[in-house]
Amino acid sequence: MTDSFRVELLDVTKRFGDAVAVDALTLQVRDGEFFSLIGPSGCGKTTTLRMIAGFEQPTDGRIFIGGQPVEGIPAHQRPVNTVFQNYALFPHMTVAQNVAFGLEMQKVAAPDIKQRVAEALELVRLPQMAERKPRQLSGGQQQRVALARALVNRPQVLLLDEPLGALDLKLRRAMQIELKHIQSDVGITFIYVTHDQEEAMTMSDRIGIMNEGILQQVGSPHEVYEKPVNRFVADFIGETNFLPATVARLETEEDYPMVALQGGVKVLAANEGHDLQLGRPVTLTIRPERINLYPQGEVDVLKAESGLEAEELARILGAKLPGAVDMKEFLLAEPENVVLDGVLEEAFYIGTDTRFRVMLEGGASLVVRQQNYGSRYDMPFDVGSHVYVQWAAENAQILIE
Amino acid sequence: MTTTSASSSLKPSGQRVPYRPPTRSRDRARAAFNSRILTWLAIGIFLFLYLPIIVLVIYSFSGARNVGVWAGFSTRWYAELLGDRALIAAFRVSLWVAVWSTLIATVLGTLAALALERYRFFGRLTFDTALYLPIIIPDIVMALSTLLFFVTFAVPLSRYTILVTHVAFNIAFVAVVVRARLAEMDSSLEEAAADLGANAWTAFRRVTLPILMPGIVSGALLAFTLSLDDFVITFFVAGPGSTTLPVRVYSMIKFGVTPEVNAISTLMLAGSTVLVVISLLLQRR
Ligand SMILES: Nc1ncnc2c1ncn2[C@@H]1O[C@H](COP(=O)(O)OP(=O)(O)OP(=O)(O)O)[C@@H](O)[C@H]1O
Ligand SMILES: [Mg+2]
Repeated sequence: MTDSFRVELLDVTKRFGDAVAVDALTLQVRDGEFFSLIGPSGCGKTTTLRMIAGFEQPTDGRIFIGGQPVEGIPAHQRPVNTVFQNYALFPHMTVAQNVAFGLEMQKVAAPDIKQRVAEALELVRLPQMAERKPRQLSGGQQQRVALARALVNRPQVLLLDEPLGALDLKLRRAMQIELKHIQSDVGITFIYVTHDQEEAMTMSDRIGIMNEGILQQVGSPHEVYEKPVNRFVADFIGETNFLPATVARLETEEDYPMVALQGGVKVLAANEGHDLQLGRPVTLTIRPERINLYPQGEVDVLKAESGLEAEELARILGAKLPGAVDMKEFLLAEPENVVLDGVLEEAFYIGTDTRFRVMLEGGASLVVRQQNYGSRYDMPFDVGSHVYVQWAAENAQILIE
Repeated sequence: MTTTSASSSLKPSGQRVPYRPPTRSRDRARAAFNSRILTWLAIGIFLFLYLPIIVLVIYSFSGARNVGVWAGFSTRWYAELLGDRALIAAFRVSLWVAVWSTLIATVLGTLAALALERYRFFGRLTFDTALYLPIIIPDIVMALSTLLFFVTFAVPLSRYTILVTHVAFNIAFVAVVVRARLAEMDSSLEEAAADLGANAWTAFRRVTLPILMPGIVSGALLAFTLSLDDFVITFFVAGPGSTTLPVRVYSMIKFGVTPEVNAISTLMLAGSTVLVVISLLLQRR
């Protein structure tokens, strides 16, 4: 097939008895890419990795590594190495012997082995641990040995199955950065399994999101966050609001279709290639941090924007400026803005930001996150007060299903 | 309802027993009493088990001609052993049987353990159960059935029939010990070896076998001890000229227990104990 992809899975299905662990999965991983597979427990991530490594045979479909079909090639002959979730270090060998194992299998000359093992341990910053047994190492150190043992062979592809799963948050963060550096330094293709979406977002070039054996979406962290293809992806990646809606108008001057929310409230929304028909029920997804709250009534907009009084600004700019204006009018000056009335129902201060629960006109309910700047820009809202709820139409995505 | 009335109303007699709250000192006293009882019980059990053996060991160092008479410390009977040619011959047969049955049973038992633990195959459960039978069934049943087998197929009884029988029961013990070790072993280690480029044989040789080794050695030591000490089964399948040490000792007793029997028993006891202790230590590793 194509050889521009390092790893390619075509319609791969794996059944265990009646259960379908991986369902018609098609996936292309590019050379030198950091690709993450994420999804909830039992969605088939490990099974996918095991089929690439050669520990399981696909029930259906084909797998290519470096452009070559790999069916019938046993695990020990595939140009991939795995970092196992539980490290799987050989307990009877020292760290150096563990790392040397793969090179010995490749019949590398002894002096070269010695040098490459030393380099690999240097890479994972464990040169002083070479003579220890795995059980004399901490979890994080064992993980790095597992990584060195796989990396030292310079495989075309490195498969990593939740390699940071057992680490505490701090070590995990440090190791994430370390892994990312190693990957870009060494230039190996990484296929990285995790169920931690944040980890996948920070490290990956692209992410594949799986659910119940089916690959839902593949894209850059930006794409899967900004343009989720379905409700599952929108929900799994980050936090979001789902609003039930129906399609009200297909064409508008602003180039966005219009949908009717609960209570018939009509708003513009972005459509990413879904086939819409009038009256079709859809779901709107809006990220809490993309929604803004503004106080109702007359506001000194200029002061709110610049922090300066209107007279002062007028003096600086040498022009007469409006002082207080109606907030809604001001916001609607941007035609792609959606501005609705809302009532604050709850507020939770969580340090970096405050989360509000807002009841929209028409009865829909939303979660809103407002960052706390700790300055005069922060607008204190009281629970029960009426506010304007604003978002840009492009941030409200239409989802089918 | 207070705690007091609740607890007293639970008394079946219906009598009101004055409620006394448990106190620290009472609990402590009871705990001390319990632990004292347990200590004495343990001592009692050990005495019951080992007193006869201790007596035997002590009298093996007695210079007297009659058993049960103390006539000063002497290693006379140990010296006498060395001159007893029938006994030495029996010991050599025992050693021969033990060494060979251990070697064969260790290889076969390890393979059986690997097959049962790592592979699913038709008849696995039956094989599994059958393998453990020699451990469970009484020695006498095993002895009679093997004897019957040899007689039916007109196999002449010799040291080889002893060997075959010992291999049969030793396989079971080796398999049990090795399997325990194998069950503890993470099977992803074998996958890791394959992942790093080792074929099945190399993975077994470099990873599985070294990890299993303490279990295998421990199983072998156990097999060696069992073979060396076995009397009942050997007694039935031993042919003329293939008397083992325990069988020889038994025939010596028939002519009266001499202090020489005490001495040989002490030596066998010491040897077996050392082997079993090594075996246990290896299993703990
Ligand atoms: N050897 C097997 N036999 C039978 N079913 C299996 C086997 N291996 C996996 N499965 C099933 O296949 C499905 C996918 O399992 P898999 O291990 O790939 O999940 P996962 O995405 O890695 O989950 P987790 O995040 O919990 O590790 C699960 O429903 C699991 O029960
Ligand atoms: Mg998994």
